Amino acid sequence: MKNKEKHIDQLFEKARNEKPVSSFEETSEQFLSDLKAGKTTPKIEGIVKSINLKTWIIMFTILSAIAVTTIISLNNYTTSVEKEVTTDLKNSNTIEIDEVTPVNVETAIVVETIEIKNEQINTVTTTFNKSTPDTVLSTREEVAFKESSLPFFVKNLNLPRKKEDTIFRFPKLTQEEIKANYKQKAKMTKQLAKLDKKAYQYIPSGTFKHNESNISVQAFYMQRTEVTNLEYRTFLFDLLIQDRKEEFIKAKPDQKQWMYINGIKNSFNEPMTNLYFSHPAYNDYPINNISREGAEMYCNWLTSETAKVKKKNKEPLNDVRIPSNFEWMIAAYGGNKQQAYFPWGTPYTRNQKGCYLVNYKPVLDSNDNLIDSPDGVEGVQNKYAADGGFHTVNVKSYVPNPYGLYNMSGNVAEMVWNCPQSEERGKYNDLIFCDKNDRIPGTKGGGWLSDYNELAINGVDKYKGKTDAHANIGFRVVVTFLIKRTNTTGDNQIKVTPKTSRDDLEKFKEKAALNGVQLTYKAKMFSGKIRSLTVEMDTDNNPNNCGGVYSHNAFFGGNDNYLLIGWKETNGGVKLVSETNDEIAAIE
Amino acid sequence: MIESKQDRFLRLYKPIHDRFERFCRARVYGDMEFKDLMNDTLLVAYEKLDTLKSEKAFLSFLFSISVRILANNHKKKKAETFESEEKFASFSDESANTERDTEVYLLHKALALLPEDQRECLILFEISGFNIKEIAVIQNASQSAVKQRLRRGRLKLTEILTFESAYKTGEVNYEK
Repeated sequence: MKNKEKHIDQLFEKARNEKPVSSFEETSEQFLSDLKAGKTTPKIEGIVKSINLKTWIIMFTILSAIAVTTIISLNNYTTSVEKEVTTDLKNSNTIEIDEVTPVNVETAIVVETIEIKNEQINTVTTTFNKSTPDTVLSTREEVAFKESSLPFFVKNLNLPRKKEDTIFRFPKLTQEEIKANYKQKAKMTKQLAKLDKKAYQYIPSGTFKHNESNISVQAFYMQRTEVTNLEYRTFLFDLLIQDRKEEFIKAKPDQKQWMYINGIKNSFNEPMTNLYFSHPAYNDYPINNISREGAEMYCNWLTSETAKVKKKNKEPLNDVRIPSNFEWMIAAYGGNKQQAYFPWGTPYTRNQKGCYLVNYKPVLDSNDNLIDSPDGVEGVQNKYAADGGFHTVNVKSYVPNPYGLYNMSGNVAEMVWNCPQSEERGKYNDLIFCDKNDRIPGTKGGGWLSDYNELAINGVDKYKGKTDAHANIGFRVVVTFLIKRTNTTGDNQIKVTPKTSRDDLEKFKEKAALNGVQLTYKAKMFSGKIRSLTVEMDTDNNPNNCGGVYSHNAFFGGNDNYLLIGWKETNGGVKLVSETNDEIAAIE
Repeated sequence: MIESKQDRFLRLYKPIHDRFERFCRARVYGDMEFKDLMNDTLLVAYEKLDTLKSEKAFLSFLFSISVRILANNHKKKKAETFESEEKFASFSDESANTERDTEVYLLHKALALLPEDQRECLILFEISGFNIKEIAVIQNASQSAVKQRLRRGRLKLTEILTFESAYKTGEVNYEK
C-alpha cells in the first residue's frame, strides 16, 4: 500500500512540475482578442454561491423521502412468480405439482423465450422430456424488471430521438458500469487466452465431401455459442471507455432493423428495438442487427485485448475471426462421417417425440402438421413460436451437436466467408489461402426467420453478399489453432513451407529443446526454397519414451504445400504431431 | 503613468498562469477544452476585478471563479453529441501532446474517473498547491468535507491507477 501511495505522490509531483501546454503569451493574446471582440462572459448562477452544503443535504433528503414513498406506492412488480405445471398434451390435463422437479439436462431439452406484456418482461422456460411422448415437463414464468426500472446505462443506450433528430448521443457510463465492463472483458479475454473448453471447442482437421469434391480443413477452435448481446455490449462499451467513438458508431447495432425486416414495417417488433440489445434479460441471446464490419471489429478487438493480457510464455494466439463456410460446415457435421443434413444428425426439425430441435420459422397447416416445403401449399401459416422461440432464444437452447456447439442451425444465421478459389480447386485449406479481395460474405445455418431449407448444413444462403445489419444475422468466432491445447509452454508447433528459412527452423529447434524435445532436420533446398524436409524428433525426460524417434519426410511440390510439426503432451509423455495439407499424418 | 485595468489584470495574472493552466488542464480532461475554461474564467475575473479586495487574494479569486463556471457548466451538461461523421472525425484532445509525460496524462485520465468534487479537491490540493482552508473557501464547503473528499479521492485514485496498470501489464491474477 505504501508503494502505491508513494507512486501517486510521485505522479502528483510530476503533474505539479509539468510545463504548461499553453503559454502566458498565447493565453493573454486570446484573452485580449476576446475582450476586443466583446465576447460575453458566462453567467454564474447565484444559486451555486448562496446555497451551502447543509441546505443541499436537507433538500436532497426531503426529495429522496418523497421519491421513495412514491415509488413504493406505485410500484407493484414482483421479482419472480413461478408456476410449475406438468401438462400431458394428449389428454390436456393440467396437474399442479407442489415441488419443483429438478431437470436432468441429459434427458431434457430446455427452451427459453422472453415475452413482453404490459411493460413487464416475462421469461418463459419450457422443458421438454425426450423420453416421455409429447410431454412438456414444465413451464416456468418469471416476471422480470419493468422497463421503468432499467439501469441508467440500459435506458440511455437507445436514447429516444426526435423525429427530425439526426444527432447521435453517446451513452454515459458510471464508475460502476465501467468497472463491471472491465470485469466482463477480463472474463472474455481469459477464456480466449486459455481457449477455455467451456467457451471454445477444438475442431480437429478433417476432410469432407462437398459437391463432388473433397474439402480439407485444418484444425481450429470455434466458439460454442453465437456471440451474445452481453459480449458485444462489452466490446462497444470498451470502445467508449477507450474513447474510440468513431469505431463505436460503426460497430453499434442498428436496432431499428427489428421494425423493418425484409423491407416490411413490423410495428409489433417495436419493443425489441429498445430492449433486445440493452436489457439484461437478453444478455445471453445472440447479437444481431450488426454489420459485417461491426463483427470484424469485434474480432479485432477481442484479439488485441486478449494479446494484452496473455502471458508471455504461452504460445501466441492467432487472430479471432469469422469462420469460412467450410470451417463452419465441418464444425456443424460434428465429426459425423455420414455428413448429416442437420447438425443434430437427422433431416427433421423435430425428434420422434415431436419436440423441436431448432429455432426457425415452422410452417404449419390448418391441422397443425409441420410442412417442410410449403411452396405452393395452401392454407399454411408461419408459426414462429411453435418451436419455443418467437424471435431468438438463449444461445444455449436446444441440444448441441456432437462437438458441443449450440444452435449451429437456427436462432441466427451465422456470418461466414466463402472462398471461390477453394471451390474451384476442389480443395480448401483455410482463409490464409483465400485472397481477402476475392472472398464473398455469406451466412450459414439460417435463423429464427428462416425456412426449413436454410437450416441445412449445406443449405440455401438467402444472405449471400449481404454485409449490412439484419435481424436474422449474427455470428460466432473461430481461432486457428493447429494443435489441441495442452499444458506445454512455449511454441510447440511450426508450419514449414517452401519459404521457411533455416533461421526459423533453428529457432524452433531451440524452443523444442527447452521442452525436452530434441529435433534434427535435413532440408534440401532448390533456388533458396525448401524442396524436401526430413524431421526427426526425440524426447527426453520421458519415462515411457512414448515420443521416441519420429521422422517425417515432406516433399514440397508446389508453393501451397506445408508441413506442420510439433509436440503435445499425453498421459504417456510428450508425443509428436505433424500434418501436411496433402495427407493427414497426425500421430495420436 | 496610470496603469490601465488590462495591464493591472495581466500583471496579476502572469505569475500564476502556469499554476492556473495546470489546474484547468487537469480539471477538465475529457469534458471540454481547457482553453475554453481558461478564457471564460479570465473574462469573468476581468469583469469582476473591481470586487477584488486584495491583490494577494487574486489566485484564490481566479480559482473560485473557475470552480463556479465548472459547476454552472456541469448543471447544463448534456450527453456529448456529434452532428455528422465529419465533425465527429475532427474531434480531438487538444491537450494531448506526444511530448507530454505519459504518466501525467494517465493521471489526468484517472482523475477524470473520479466524482467531480473529489477530482477538483485533489487537483486543487495536490497539483495547484492550495491548503484545506483555501480549498474550503474556493469550493464553498466545510473543511471536514474537503478532508473527506481528499481522503476518498485518493483511495479511489489508488484503486483506479493500480487496477489500470496491473490490467495493462497483464499482472492481474485471475486464478481463484
